[in-house]
Amino acid sequence: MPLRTKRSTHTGAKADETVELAWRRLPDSNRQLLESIGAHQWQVVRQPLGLAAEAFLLSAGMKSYPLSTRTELDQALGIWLRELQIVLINESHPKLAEVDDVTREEFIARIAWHEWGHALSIARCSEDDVAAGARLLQLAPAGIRERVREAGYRPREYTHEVIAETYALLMLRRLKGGSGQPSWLHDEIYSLLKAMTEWND
Amino acid sequence: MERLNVRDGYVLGANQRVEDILAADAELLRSEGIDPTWQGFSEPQAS
Repeated sequence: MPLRTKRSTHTGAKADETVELAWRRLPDSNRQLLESIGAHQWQVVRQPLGLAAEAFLLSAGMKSYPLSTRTELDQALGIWLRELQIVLINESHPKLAEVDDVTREEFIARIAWHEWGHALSIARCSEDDVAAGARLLQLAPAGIRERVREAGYRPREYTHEVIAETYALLMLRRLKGGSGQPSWLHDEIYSLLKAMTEWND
Repeated sequence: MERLNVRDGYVLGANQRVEDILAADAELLRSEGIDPTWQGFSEPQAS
């Protein structure tokens, strides 16, 4: 059972419910796979994620990050905190403050699906898969390619980002009844995603 | 255990908005005849 969050505010409760529903809508096999790699816990927080991650690490008796790392993590909307096997989502991120409630719900679900896809990619991609990142990014849909480039990810992170973004997009599509390989998704990315996530739609 | 990579986070570029990301998703879904309108977690309507 995923770790439940502290529901200190109404908004927090709503965001947590969104992530819970996003989790429930994953294919059964994917939930089982995420549980098998320990990526089935999450917490929605209302603070920058560098600060939140530090608190989690310190409470677990682990060393905190350098200030520079914390500052970078503060920019994230979601993270897969692999040391503690938990997904953290910052529902008070400034980018989410600019949107209406419907958009906010959709995007929080998208962040959760992205982070679960990311966790599977990190756990299961080979070194060759990682090394193929620049090529995979070139084959990715334009929207994914632009986000990854504009956010400043490094080439060794491209594969994980492509898998995570594609996974989130396929979950959105699945929710609307879409199945099978989309016409807009390159064979190589779809094959890798199926292998990494055991996606079987 | 390997330390967290600083970019294990989901980050948007300084000039990217949430709406831009969702608009790009919607364009792909629309291209294959799927209505991209977010309707929460309700079951898809049978066509």
